[in-house]
Amino acid sequence: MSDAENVGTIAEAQRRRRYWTLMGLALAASLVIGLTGRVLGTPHGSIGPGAALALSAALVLLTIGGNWIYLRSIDELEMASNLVGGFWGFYAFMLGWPLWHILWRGGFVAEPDMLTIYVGAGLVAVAGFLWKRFL
Amino acid sequence: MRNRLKVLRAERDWSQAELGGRLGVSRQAVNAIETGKYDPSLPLAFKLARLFEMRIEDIFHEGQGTGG
Repeated sequence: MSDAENVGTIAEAQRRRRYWTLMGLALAASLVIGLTGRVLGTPHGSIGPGAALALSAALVLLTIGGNWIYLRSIDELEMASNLVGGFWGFYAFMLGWPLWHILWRGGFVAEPDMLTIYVGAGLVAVAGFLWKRFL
Repeated sequence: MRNRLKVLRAERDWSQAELGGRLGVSRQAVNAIETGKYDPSLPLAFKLARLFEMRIEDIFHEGQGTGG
């Protein structure tokens, strides 16, 4: 098949390469921020005020900038999947804490843990994304 | 929404990746449209119609699933 007949397959391969390069860069940036926080931290988990401000700024810039680039590089199915995932994650977060809090006050469960709720909401968002994208 | 995308693609001997690349969407998006799991936006439907030189209503029909 000539390049002219194959133009779509070539474009799709380039799009896929761009997408996975972006995913790799996002993962690398997350690892750098996470590892930097760990390296700069004390055994008790605290970090200096300067490092905390610098890491916070890097996190905000990379999250907003990375998402801006990501949202410009995806197709409409992936955008729809992101909306579904975001919706699921939002409700998991908005319901997760108050439900846990009420059940804790009723003596049913241990005190709410924000990190667990944060990670849980993230996992629910990923599940929603994968459900819309692949099922 | 039912559609004739799979048939039209087969008539041109295009893979899902080939059609996706020509439309500027992923292979998965073409697959999701063909299997009726995802209804394309109006701009994408117009793009499809232009690519196949047909009217949108000749590609997409009301109803569930594929074919038609």
